[in-house]
Parts: sequence; structure tokens; C-alpha cells
Amino acid sequence: MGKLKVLVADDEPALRKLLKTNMELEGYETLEASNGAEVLQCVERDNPDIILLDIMMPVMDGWEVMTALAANPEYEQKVILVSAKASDDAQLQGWELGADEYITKPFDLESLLQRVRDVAARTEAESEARRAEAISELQNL
Amino acid sequence: MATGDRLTELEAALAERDARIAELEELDKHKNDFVATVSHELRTPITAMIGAAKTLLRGGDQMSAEERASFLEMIERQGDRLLRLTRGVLAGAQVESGAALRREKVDLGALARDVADELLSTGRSTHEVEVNAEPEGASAWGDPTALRQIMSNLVENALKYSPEGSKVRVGVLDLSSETLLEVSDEGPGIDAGSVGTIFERFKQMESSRSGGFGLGLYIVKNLVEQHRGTIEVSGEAGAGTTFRVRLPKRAARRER
Repeated sequence: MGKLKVLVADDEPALRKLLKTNMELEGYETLEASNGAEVLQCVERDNPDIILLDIMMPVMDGWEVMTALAANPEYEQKVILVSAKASDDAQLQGWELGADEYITKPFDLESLLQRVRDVAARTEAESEARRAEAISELQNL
Repeated sequence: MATGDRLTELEAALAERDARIAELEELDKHKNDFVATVSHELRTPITAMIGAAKTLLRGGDQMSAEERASFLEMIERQGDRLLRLTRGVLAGAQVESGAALRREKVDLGALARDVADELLSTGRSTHEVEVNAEPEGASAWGDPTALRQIMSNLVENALKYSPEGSKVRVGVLDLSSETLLEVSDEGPGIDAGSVGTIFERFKQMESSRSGGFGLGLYIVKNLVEQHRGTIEVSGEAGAGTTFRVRLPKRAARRER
């Protein structure tokens, strides 16, 4: 299959560039957004596989994005929250809204990359499983 | 008779002690809040610096020379940011601790020019800063470090929130009982909803969050108040913003 598409969403330009470059070094295709509204536009238009999502962003924050994603079953993006909000409450809220990972800032780059790789592996395994299922359905026709 | 008096005395002493404890608890909470604020604000530049260095280490050999340079610049810029934040924090810590302010005569016009030169020296800004002192040499009584911090935060704030190439005006006016300092920009102004919260920690206008700490105006207000001065902000959305600081002359001197 093709390269996974990773959307990097953070209102801080330095962090966005940092994450984007590292996602490229990992071999993913990358997209960028600097606020929540751009994230939703990008999801609609480019259908990324994974979103690295900051929570405290202008216009529309990460929680609102999560809520919008959850409301539409067509959206199947994996979401990795990357936030300075480190409290248990915030993390719990993240999980409840359907986040796949929760990474606190300041993050350690290596462990962030490892978690992205894990989520990417799950994404690929799932799409492989779906493909196999579709093929077997076709064969049963 | 003596017993009743003694009891009243003890009760009064007890009440006084309780009030003192409550006061200290309040102060302690203040300090904790401040530490939380600061550590929060330090996170972004530290993350970016370490991340940029690690990115260069792991991927530098796959990057173009320009891209490598852009990560070195990121380290430099975030280091600058950290330095400025640290300076601000030290000023802020002084505010919170209520450390005694020095009282000296400070030429505000000269200070404004000095601060503007420092802020524009990075060459990344095309703003113009115009300083007018009336009369020339008009000064305020106050702590030189604190006054520099006030000036620096206000001018930096004006630069941050106004378009490149526009003008930031600093006016210093010597009035009979006070010194008036005005810092105006040609930025987007302040929306009505933000006027009330602009001096609170972390409050920043949504339209421009680039490189902000959310501490600057909070520190300014505290330092101004320690000088027994006042600060107000005016400006409508779309019409620029003016900060007006009034520093009393006599009261400031009597403090000491």
C-alpha cells in the first residue's frame, strides 16, 4: 500500500515544522494545520490516516475537533493528542473522545516517534484486514 | 475582671494570627500559580530546541543545507525566546515576592529608545518605533530593572500585534504629579471581549498567538501597581491599541 498520510496540527510553527520533518524522515506523507478548523477541512479534503493533534489551538480547539470527528462515522482517522495539558482529567477526556494515544508536551522525540510507529502499524494492519475481508467476500459471491 | 480582659486579649491575638495565616496561604497559592504558569510557558521553547537538535542528529544527513540551517535557526530563536522568558520570569518572581523596589530617576525616553533598539536588532522586524518625550529627558521615579521590563514588554507586545512595516509610537509626558507613558500600535486593536482579561496570565488574543507567553502584560500590570501606578488599555477592533501607564511622582518617592 501507499505511504501513510500524517496530518500535523499545532498552532506553534516551530513545533509544526519539527513534527512534520520527523514524520517525513519516518517516510510518511505529511499535511499541516494550524488550528482546528483547518484540521477538519484537511480531513474532508485529504483524508489523512493519522492526526497529531494539539489541544490548545485558536479558532477551534482539539476537543472540538475530536467531537466533530466522533460525530461522523465516515471519519476513521487515528488521533494522537499532543498537548501541554498533562492532568489526568485531560488525558481521560482524550480517551473518552476516542484518542488513540495521548502524548504530553514537552515530549521526548524518540518516544513520540515510537508511538506514531505503533499507531501506524495498527492502521496498516486494520486496512490489510479490511482488504482481506473484502477479497473473501468477493470470492464468496 | 482581669480574667475577662485577658481572654479578650487572647482572642484578639488568635484572630490576628489566623488572619496572618490566611494571608500567607494566599501568598503561597499565588507563588504556586506563578510557578505553574512559568513551567507551562517554558515547555514549548524547550521542546522545540531539544527536538530540533535531535532531528538534526537523526536526519541531518538526509537534509539539504538550507533545511539543516533552518533547524539551527530554530534552536537559536527558541533559545532567544527562552532567554527573554527567563528575564521576564525573574522580573515576575520579583513582583510576586514583593521584593523591595529601588527608587531612581529613570529617563523614560532614553529607555524607550534603548529597548526599541534591542528589540529591533534581530533584524527580523521591519517595524519603526517612534519615541517622543515631552519634555526631552522626562523621567519617572522607579526601579530601573522594573521600568525596563515594563517598557520592554509593552513595546514587544505592540510589535507582536501589529503588521510588519507599521509604526509603534512611544510617548512620554511629564505631568505635574505623574509621568505618563503611552505605547500605541497600528495593529488590529482589541476586541471588546478581551479588554477585561488582557492583563491576566495566559490571556492572549486568539488572532495572534505567535511566540507569546501570556505573561508579559500580567507582569507589566503588577510592576506598575508596585510603583503605585495605573495602567489602562484602549482601542477598538481594527483601530490599533494604546496602553497608558501613569506613574505617580510623589507617592513613589514616599514609599521608601
